[in-house]
Amino acid sequence: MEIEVYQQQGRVPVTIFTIRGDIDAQTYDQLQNQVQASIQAGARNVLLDMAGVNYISSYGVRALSQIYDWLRDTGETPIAGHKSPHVKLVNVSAPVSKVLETTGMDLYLDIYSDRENAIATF
Amino acid sequence: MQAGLTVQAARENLAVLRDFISARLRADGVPTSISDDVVQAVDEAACNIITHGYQSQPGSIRLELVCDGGTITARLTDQAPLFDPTQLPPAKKDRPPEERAAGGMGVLLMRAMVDSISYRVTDDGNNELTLQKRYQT
Repeated sequence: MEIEVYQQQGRVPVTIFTIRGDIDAQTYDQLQNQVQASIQAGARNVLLDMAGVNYISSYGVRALSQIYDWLRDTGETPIAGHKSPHVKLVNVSAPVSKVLETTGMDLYLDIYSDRENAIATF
Repeated sequence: MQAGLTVQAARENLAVLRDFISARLRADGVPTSISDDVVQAVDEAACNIITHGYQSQPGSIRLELVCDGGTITARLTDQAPLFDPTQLPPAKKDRPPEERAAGGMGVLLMRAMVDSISYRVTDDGNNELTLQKRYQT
């Protein structure tokens, strides 16, 4: 799996992770660690560009869940339908979308089809 | 179509299993949406064998893949201590992400992607998990 990270200025600074490759039990911690390092360096708004991801396993969902937990509004109890304003997905492929729906992660993450539109929503 | 593959029980081989299934089912003319589901279910099952069965100790996993008359059968056999993944409770998708166990999400996905899952102990004392998916030919 390869991950490119860069920052783009919208209304607020948005850190964009462009991911290429499968997110499975072997690779999920690479994504998790890279996002965590950015958060520790000050990132508060994260956009995950999934255009290059055709497969995500339950471990990948766990990584998204962990990232959601790091970036959701502090002090709020997560409830179904409460989507974090600080972490969003863009360019999600059909098989990945099916996994997110099956596991219910789509209830917690906003998903966009256009990167610029997604950046503008932060 | 009938094909088989044996891999060492290691997470880096999950991609080997996925690529093998995709290539064989594609060559057999199975629609991508169907083969994607089988790939997902086998990956989750194999990951459970590595993590819960072998508990990351050395071992092997044998995959037998059969595609016949609109039914795909994927059979996984391993020599780990006996472990029936069909008894694991699936995660509840309406629970907040932080309250879900990764293993439970794997079971949820495995069950959602195929039509049937069955477990048995073979005559020589191995774990055997059989996943089946039917599709319109």
